[in-house]
Amino acid sequence: MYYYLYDTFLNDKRFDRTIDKIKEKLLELDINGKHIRLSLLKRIEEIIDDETKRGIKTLVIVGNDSSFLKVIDPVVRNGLTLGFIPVGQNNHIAPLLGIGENDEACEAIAARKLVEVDIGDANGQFFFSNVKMSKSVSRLLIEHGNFKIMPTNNCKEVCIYNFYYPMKKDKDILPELDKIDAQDKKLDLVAKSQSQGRAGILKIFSGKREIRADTFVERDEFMVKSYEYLPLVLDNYRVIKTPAKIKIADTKLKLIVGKNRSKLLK
Amino acid sequence: MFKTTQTEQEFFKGDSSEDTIIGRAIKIEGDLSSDGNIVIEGEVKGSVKTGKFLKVGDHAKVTANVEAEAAVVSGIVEGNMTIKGRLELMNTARVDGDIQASNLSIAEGATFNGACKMDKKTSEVVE
Repeated sequence: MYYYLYDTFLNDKRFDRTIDKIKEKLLELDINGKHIRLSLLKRIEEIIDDETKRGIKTLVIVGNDSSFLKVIDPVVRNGLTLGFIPVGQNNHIAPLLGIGENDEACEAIAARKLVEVDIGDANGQFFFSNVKMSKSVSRLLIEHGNFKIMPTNNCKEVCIYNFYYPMKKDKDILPELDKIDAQDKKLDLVAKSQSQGRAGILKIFSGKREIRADTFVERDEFMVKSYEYLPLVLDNYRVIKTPAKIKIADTKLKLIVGKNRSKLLK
Repeated sequence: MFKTTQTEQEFFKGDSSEDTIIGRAIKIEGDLSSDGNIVIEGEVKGSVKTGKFLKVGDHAKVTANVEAEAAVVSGIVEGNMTIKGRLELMNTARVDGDIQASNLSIAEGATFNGACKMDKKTSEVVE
């Protein structure tokens, strides 16, 4: 049975019509199931854990990038198959999975084309896209095997990616980022530095200095250490602290994808 | 953004999915090895080893013994370089250490302090 989970922001009335259409389409495609709207009163992990005990095998999250990333940890822990119906703004992941909006997304769920993708593991917590470090990065020490990576004072952010999805605000990204493959059993460390900016009067008019990616290191695991506890943000919402062992998890995520998915998802 | 010389272009033509790029945002200490191309624009101490192409950029400082299939150096290398194929020292390069290469090109303005050994079979005299 399919279990459809609607993120809290979809409780807004302006989404009512879209949600009704999705439900009608799912009924038409004969892939109906249990429909639950998330609320602020119950944790998403508890809901998924409880429903897994009741026997669900496939969870379909309805919402945006944030909704999708939030269910990854409980979905992987419970060995569920994950589907995604993107609704609203901030949907950059769905197009890479080949999933369109509304009817197209429902049809992709019905077609049930499955791929298995790597999942990151940071101190036993699963993540799909990245682990971001942007606070006091020059105090971090990142080890892999026989070498140590030490961010300089010029470094503004270090990200360890399993799956990369471009955000609109990303500028001057390394072409290598487009090669990040979520099925190669490797993680990709990307360090971003602040550009030198324009000189003289141009500096006044050019506004903020640009942050650009300038380092790309691909390995299967990284150990992140620091002399003090520093935060690491998993998938842009969950925070853990150093030290952290970041690696590719032994288990994989079973994901429902569409025909026009990224070439990197085979 | 990194492709300038013919040697580089030859190596970047193929599948470079495992390229390692060390930018100015980080420093590396230890033994850095890779199956793919390595581009260094920052600082590396220890050793560097790749079966493919190595680029040491203008602002890079490499304090390490280096092994690669081919290399182009525009920055500073303090250590011995063992290059199976072609080694190019650009006009801004400074190498303090011994060089072993099959094919060597040193641009006017480059600094090289050390011994040089070249494989007789593949070396060519250009007049």
